[in-house]
Amino acid sequence: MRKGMIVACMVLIGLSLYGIIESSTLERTMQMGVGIAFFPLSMSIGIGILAAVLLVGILKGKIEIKDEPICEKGGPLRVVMVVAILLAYIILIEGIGYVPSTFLFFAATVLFLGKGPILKTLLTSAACTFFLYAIFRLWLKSPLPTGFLGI
Amino acid sequence: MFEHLIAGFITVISPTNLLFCFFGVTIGTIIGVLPGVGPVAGTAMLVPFTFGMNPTTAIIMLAGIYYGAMYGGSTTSILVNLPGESSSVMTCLDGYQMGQKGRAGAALGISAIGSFIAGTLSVLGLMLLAPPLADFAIRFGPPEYFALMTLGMTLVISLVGESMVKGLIAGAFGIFLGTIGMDPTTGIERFSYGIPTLLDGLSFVSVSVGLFAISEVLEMAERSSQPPAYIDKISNLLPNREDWKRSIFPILRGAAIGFFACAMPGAGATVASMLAYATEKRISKHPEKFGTGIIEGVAAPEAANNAATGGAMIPLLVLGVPGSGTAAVMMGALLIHGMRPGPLLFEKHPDFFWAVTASMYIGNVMLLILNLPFVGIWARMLKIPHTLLVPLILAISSVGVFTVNNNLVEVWIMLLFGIIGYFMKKFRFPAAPVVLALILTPIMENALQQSLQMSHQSISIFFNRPISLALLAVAMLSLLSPLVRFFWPKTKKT
Repeated sequence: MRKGMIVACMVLIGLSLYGIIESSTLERTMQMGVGIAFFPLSMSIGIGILAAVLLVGILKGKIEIKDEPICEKGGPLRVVMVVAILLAYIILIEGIGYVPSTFLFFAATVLFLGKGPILKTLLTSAACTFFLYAIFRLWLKSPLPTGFLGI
Repeated sequence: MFEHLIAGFITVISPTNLLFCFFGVTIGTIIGVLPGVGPVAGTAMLVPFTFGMNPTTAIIMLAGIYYGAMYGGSTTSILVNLPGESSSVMTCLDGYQMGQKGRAGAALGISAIGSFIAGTLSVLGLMLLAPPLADFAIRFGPPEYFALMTLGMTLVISLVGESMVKGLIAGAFGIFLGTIGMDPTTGIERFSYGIPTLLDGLSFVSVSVGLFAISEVLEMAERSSQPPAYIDKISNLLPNREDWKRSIFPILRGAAIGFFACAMPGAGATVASMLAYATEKRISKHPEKFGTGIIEGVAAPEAANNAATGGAMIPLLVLGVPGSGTAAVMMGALLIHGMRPGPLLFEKHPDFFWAVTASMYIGNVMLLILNLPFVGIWARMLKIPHTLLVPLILAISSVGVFTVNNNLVEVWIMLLFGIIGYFMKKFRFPAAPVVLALILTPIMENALQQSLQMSHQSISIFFNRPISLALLAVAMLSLLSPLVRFFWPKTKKT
């Protein structure tokens, strides 16, 4: 947790530097009020200062951090896999359309997280896909991505 | 006032509004029951469902989700010692113990009835306080608005989460995000890098669904265990005479605490329920019995977290300053529907305010009916496996966010903020200030520009006007008090 917080502070300081560099290209003062750089620049500086305060506090031991694991064993792998499946879903949805990609997304996630019987997984995935299709397309009339299959 | 309220009831009893009020409270109850999915995630996730609706129906449904979740949250607290949402944490202490003594029915009963009484009283409070406050706030000019939004943000930052510094970082990050896109005054692009979707700024739907819903689902996916299901039969839901005698005053005190605590931006339903529980324990003749399964320990926090919803509507609808994550999401939804919350809402759309108020009376009655005889159904919701909930929530969120602009870039933004939100949860950075700041920054920036134009670039305008000065002074106080606590002690746990 402590190492993680130190990394988080470093990331925030990096974000602050990025904000300061990018904001410095914008106008700081204007004729009719503050310039458009005012908010992003001041907030970037603020994030940097606060992250530095936090970092110094942790390094000097002024801020105690419980020595506990960030997540349970095997948790990060499950999160990475779910994010990867979601990434694949977003990529696929435009190519093959809503219906097949959502079905595949459900099946892949349920199989990965649950490892249940394959037939039950496929039936559940088909039911959930239809349920969402019925809500968004048939009831709310929202346009959904259609791929080369037209669905 | 009563003719407005009657007109509000007439609007609500239209079949469409009644149906969506029912949907809202039912979905809210489900969200409250399911551990891990809180009202803010649920509300954010379902905003895209409201796009085809008129603003009144949309907010009736979203408000239903909000207060419905407060009812549902108590069920899992009492039955399996697992708060369905954060404001039900205090209910676990005595509610679960009552369940262990075979009095789960009485705990659920007093929780539903107490919630109903408190919810109804808070709507009454909203009805009585909102119009005079709107009359007062209508005199606000740009400097007062700027000061008010600054105050709203600082209160949320200082009260949400456990660390002031982390809250400030989250708020500053949200303000930074709020500046992305084309500046409305000059038309100059900021941080949009030629991406057309970013020209209008980051969509609050993508950001809030990512920060609240996706991050919660990732946490759910991380855990290998499923929460335990409740298998015993639930009976004797109606409290007996003794239960009533012991509960009625805690319910009334809880309602008052919840309403007034949440009428101030920042103190959410969780803080209100903790305050109500602590108050009951302090004034009790037997404080040692709290935590052992006494009915006052269920009645007070449950009343407080339900009364909080009516209180939270005051800063949101009357002042246009949301006081919590859920209120911020509702404000974003209102803005999407072309309604600008604030004192002018009463002048321009009084029918909207009164219809939402009336819907809360009706919604509370629906919830009482849903939560007493059908409590067994909600308890069975715990049997839904995480393996199914995770893809279901992810798919609803992705498709919902896509339908905002029929644009996949919004879904990518949602995923990015889902990952950011997950790490924010891990390192205990509050997400509510990010969304609140994202929504308020464009309005705040505009108010600042207008104020400076009025004063020919002099910031003295904020200090020459008494209301603006008072609001900024309170904002400064709210910022300084935790900072003093941060720097004063030698060590501080995070």
